[in-house]
Amino acid sequence: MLPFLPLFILFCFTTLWGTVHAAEIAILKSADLTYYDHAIVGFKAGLPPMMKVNEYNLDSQLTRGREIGESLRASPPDLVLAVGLKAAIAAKLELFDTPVVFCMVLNPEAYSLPTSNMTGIAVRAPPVTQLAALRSLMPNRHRIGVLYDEEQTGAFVREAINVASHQGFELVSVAVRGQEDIPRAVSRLLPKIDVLWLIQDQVVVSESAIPFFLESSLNAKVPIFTFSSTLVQQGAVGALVLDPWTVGQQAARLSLARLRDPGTSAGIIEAPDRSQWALNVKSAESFGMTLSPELIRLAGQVFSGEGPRTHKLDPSDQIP
Amino acid sequence: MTPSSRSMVDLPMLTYSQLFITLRTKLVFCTAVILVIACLLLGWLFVQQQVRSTAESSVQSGTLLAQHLAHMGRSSMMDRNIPRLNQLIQEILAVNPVAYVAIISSRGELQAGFGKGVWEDQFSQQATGQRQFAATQLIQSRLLAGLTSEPLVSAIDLNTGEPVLRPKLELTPGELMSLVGGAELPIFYDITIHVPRYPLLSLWDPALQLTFEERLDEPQVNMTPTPMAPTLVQIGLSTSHLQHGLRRLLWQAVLITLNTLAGGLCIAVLLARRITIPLQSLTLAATKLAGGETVPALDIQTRDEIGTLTGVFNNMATRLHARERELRELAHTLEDRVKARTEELAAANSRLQEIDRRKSIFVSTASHELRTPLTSMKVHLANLRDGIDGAVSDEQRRSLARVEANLSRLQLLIDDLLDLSQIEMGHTAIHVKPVAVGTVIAKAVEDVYPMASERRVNVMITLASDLPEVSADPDKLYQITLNLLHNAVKFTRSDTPVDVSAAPLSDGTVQISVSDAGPGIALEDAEKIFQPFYRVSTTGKKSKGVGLGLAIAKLLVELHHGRLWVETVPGYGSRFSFTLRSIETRRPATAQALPLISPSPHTVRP
Repeated sequence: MLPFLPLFILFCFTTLWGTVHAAEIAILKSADLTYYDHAIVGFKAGLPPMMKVNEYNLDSQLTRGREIGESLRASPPDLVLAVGLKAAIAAKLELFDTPVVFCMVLNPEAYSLPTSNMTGIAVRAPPVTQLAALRSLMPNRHRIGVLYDEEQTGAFVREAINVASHQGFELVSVAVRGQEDIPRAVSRLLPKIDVLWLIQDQVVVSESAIPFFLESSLNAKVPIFTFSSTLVQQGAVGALVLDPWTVGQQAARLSLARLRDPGTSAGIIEAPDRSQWALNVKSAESFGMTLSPELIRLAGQVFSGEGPRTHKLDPSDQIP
Repeated sequence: MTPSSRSMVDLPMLTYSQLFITLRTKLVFCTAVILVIACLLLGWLFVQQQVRSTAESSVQSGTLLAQHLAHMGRSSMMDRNIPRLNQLIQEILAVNPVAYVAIISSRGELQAGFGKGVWEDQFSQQATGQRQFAATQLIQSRLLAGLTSEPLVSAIDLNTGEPVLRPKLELTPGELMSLVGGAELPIFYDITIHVPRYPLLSLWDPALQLTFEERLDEPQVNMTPTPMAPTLVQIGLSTSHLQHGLRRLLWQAVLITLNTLAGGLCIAVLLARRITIPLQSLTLAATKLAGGETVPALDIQTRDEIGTLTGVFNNMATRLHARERELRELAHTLEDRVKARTEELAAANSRLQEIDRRKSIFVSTASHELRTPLTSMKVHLANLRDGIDGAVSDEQRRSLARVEANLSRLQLLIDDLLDLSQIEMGHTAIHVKPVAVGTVIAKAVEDVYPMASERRVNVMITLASDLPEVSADPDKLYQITLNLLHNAVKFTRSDTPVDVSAAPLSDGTVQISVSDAGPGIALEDAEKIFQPFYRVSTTGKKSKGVGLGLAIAKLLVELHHGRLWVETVPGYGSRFSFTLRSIETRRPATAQALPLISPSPHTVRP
């Protein structure tokens, strides 16, 4: 039986490819942004070679997206990949039967995404993944503080509270209504926690608040765990960061699955398959922490005060 | 220096006393001007550079302090932690040159701030309870004009008690002068910086970019930060320390300039002396040389153009002296040679005079000796012709007549020779007395009548009505007139008249002229016809005579202190004229010419 195994695998692949090789995919891109382009490159890299792909750019205009969506409805492709919020909204408003996969959308729930013909890939890693990563980074710190806006990340925080209690963490959450609440909330929160978890919340994380988070963290000797390599570079200890290329690859896999079976994963949002580690060795030292060599080896970006020391990207280094 | 040379040297000074400027003065003046300009220029540039450099250094320190405060107080500014900000400001104010520190919020309000000294009063409490800083109002307009992250540096003048924004940081020349005078200028540098925001977003951070940018209602653009007014840190620095340094520097610059000027002038004077003293020596020596004095060789003190000039001058003077010596020697030699030659000529002249005298003696003696036998021959010939010694045929008589004629001619020649020799030897005596010119002329005309008749020539006599008597020897006057008349009749063409005229002249003399219509005399012959034995080539051999008549006439006229000359037109005739003193003029002149002319007949030697 064993000698026939490769032949069997080859048969399965050719059979599977054969069902989708003639499909036509339309890509709707919200704007000319680098990370959108990287996601698209990752997506295309995950498709079979003979797949026909048409790319449309909305140029940040929803109306243009709707016009494109209307034309696609008239002559529908086999699948639509929407990259970015406006592309996803345009697809939602104009395409009702065509399978749509969207990615690079920060808060899809806020815009009633996905619909029944849509499948999405979340930008944020789920709380369980993030808390697990936090534990591997700072195993001795149990009190986790988090700031959030109810509308933006209320559901995420509630799920995180559940997960934390299961994992033995004490998650101290403070809701804010606007940026003006942040200084006071931070002042109140920092004395109660061992680590500040900055989640991807558009109210909490702003250009003006970041310096304050970083300085306050330094002054209070409370390390920050976050989602941004920039914040890690500027003083946070570690982060699980998004990799658009990997998201694109995941979108390709999901698209192929939906082409084979349009009902697969319809109406749900998948968590990102893999996230990348970003670590700041200097910050860790300043907070009295020692990062394990294995973690540093796995990290995609390591900062040590002299700029990022970027590791070669390897999917195996990414946190599943 | 001789008086003459001194006067030559001083001449320009005296003539151009108002304009004359010595070379030394010019050199020293020009050098001084150049030095002053160069020192002032360099000094000014140096001071300017130092002012700028010190100001920049001060501003840099202030900027560092401001940046330090911005960095340290960044979170406190966001958190409005005023006590913490005040503490940081007090730390900064402890630094000596810092005059004030203020933190201005993004809304332009004073968050915290304090001043020292005169700046304490510039922080005032408003009715709203809000504090205000006077200098902030000045800077706001500049901030609005150019919102950049670069430090904004301004200069503020607190001279009037109220802060006034200066147009530029540098001190004006007038302020620098007052600084030198010891004044303390209330000028402060204001440095305003933006509290830096963290440099957000590396290029590869999609999660953060997405967090910042994702909006459904706004166009998604590539990370353009929302422009918003920044929080400001404003620090004022006192320039007192800078002014002290500048004052010291300015004084040093002044001292260095003066020292350089003094040193430069000394060098210029020395250099000018080095140039002008050899030139003065040269001028003096040249003046002496021009005055003919002997000039010793000048010392060559420098090995430059002036040394070369001195060498050339010495060479020239040496050569000039040598030439002068040669000329002097040549003059001496020439004088001796002229003297010797003169003596030789005098000796030759004496010899010639002696020869001439001997010739005249010979001619006189020979003539005299020839006359005696000639007279005897004529007597005997007359006897033969007259038949006293026997009868003679007609043929013999004609021959005798021809012989007699030739003897007469020979006698005339001998008489002329004798006369000439006598005159030349000075043995001719003239017996001066009043003579009627017309009588003498008539007698002479009468004597040439046969010859004139033979040649069909009419002799016309023209006498002035007021013709005075002349003072002359009648025989010699007759001989002069006869010789001239004889020549005129002989050379005039046949059937033409010969005019003899006499007329008084205005100078008291009487001019007697004999004119003919003969062939005239060529110009080259006119000067020579009065020489003995000279015959004009045009007369030919047909004319008789040996050429003594005119020579005798001239000598005789000159014996009378008169003058004989000829006027001639070749081909048309000649006119011989001579003058004699009239009796009227001679009388008063007698007394004056007493040594030469006496009333009694005497002999006049030429």
